[in-house]
Amino acid sequence: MVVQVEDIAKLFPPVDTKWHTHVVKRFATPFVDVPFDRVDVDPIVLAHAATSLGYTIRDFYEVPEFGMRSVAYLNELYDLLPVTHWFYSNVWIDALGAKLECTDTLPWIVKERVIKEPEDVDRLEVPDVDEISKSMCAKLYFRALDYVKENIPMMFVPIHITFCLFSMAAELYDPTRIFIMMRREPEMVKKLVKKVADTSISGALAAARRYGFCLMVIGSVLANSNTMRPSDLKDFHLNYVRYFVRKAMKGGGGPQLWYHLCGDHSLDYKLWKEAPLSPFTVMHIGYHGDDVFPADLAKKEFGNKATILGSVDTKLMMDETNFLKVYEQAKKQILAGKDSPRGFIVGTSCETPVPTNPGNILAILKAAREYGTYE
Amino acid sequence: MAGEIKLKKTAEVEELLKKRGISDREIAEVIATVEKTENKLAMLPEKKKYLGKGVIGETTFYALYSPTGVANEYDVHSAYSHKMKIVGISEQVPSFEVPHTEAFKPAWFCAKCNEKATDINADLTYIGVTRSAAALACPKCKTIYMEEDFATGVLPAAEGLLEKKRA
Repeated sequence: MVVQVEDIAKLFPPVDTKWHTHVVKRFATPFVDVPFDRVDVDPIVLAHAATSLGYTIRDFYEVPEFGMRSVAYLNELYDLLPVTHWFYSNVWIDALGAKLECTDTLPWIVKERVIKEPEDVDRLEVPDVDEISKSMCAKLYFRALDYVKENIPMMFVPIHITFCLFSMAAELYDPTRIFIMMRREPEMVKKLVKKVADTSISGALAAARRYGFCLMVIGSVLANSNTMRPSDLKDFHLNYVRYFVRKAMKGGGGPQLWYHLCGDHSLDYKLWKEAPLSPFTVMHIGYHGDDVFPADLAKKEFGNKATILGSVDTKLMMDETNFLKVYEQAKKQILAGKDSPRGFIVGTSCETPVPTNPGNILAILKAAREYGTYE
Repeated sequence: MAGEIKLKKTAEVEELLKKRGISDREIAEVIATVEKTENKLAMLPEKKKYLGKGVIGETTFYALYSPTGVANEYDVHSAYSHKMKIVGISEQVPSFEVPHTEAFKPAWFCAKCNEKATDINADLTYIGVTRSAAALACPKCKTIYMEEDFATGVLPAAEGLLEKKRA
């Protein structure tokens, strides 16, 4: 039995407005060049919010209203962001026929794939804006965003999650076999990624129609330096990201962009300079090989183009009970990135894992408070 | 010079320009300048529609127009403006082809240099804040153009947010 929507109001005390006013000003720092307080901390909290507050992963993903409220509460607890969010990675593919389910330990995962044979790609029909608005994904997002808009409007920011186009294509077929299909039938894979991009464009326009301007979160997850050569990453993913961003923005999507390059991007990060930018773009790269992506390299390559989100290793967040180790890594990233010309935020290399030790979130926060303050 | 230009507009375009607060004088000034310098983009494949721009005061104005065939007379298809000032090219982006993709925005050709305009990320500045945005540029003369959707959607949002946050 998951938490009931009507009970949420009885679970959380109101947002501290004094705290919120302060944090809003800090949150604006990287985007408007008015330094205030310190570097913001965004550890990309998702289901960890629910589990650390005594609830379950199912509560978080099956009741998006609760998911939003729990992240908002955790943001206040840890003095993080003035806005809340809720998302999962397998977005929009239910509108292409994939069946998804939540488990006790995992978010919405694919239960039934759509493409059994490469030829099935031709049979996929891209939903238009009206059709996608009725999809499971849209309904969950609209429930989440409508809840915040109505109940904690000061923490509302409309978000369109694109996530990773290539990953979504792989989820429709098979995350392993898609790499074989890339070799044997490359045009079919491109056609599939294109259909995923068009589906996500419909989603972006549905969000824009309902909420106006949105933050679009664009990922590169299964498309990374461990899984493919940079030239393949460009042909099978990045070009479609460029297509997605420009077409979605032409239709009213965006204008805020957050590029989330998850995993190792040591060989392909420079390609991402080709990604379309808007005046409010965040560039977030997880790893360079096995190490976190160095904030000084991110600043050198992207500092004059976008706000940088510096990474602290999520593996440490989970496993490390030596909080000083996390603190030292956060300190190093903050000192290297703090003066990035278009702003700097410190966070984790990917979502804060569910079993994250809270001592490690405090470690990042302490590093931001001690080394991330503005003169 | 601007006074010699005659503009023809449909009622729909007239209404759009009224909504955008763009006057005939501003459009005529842009067209007069770009027709003289040839510093304009031609829409492919027909090259019958042109996109020209000019800075008047603190604002950059764009006119999308076609000559009617009568001297100094032009059909105006659209016009738009932005307050963010173009600083230069932030990143020259290689062109890309996406297979199985229908055209969703026009392709352009620099009338002056005979070069196809390419995607870039441009630096723009407004009330002391410099940020980047996707744009078009001629690879030879490096003239930068903001496309209509960005100039009327993304940039006003950015300008508004900057005005609010910097207040």
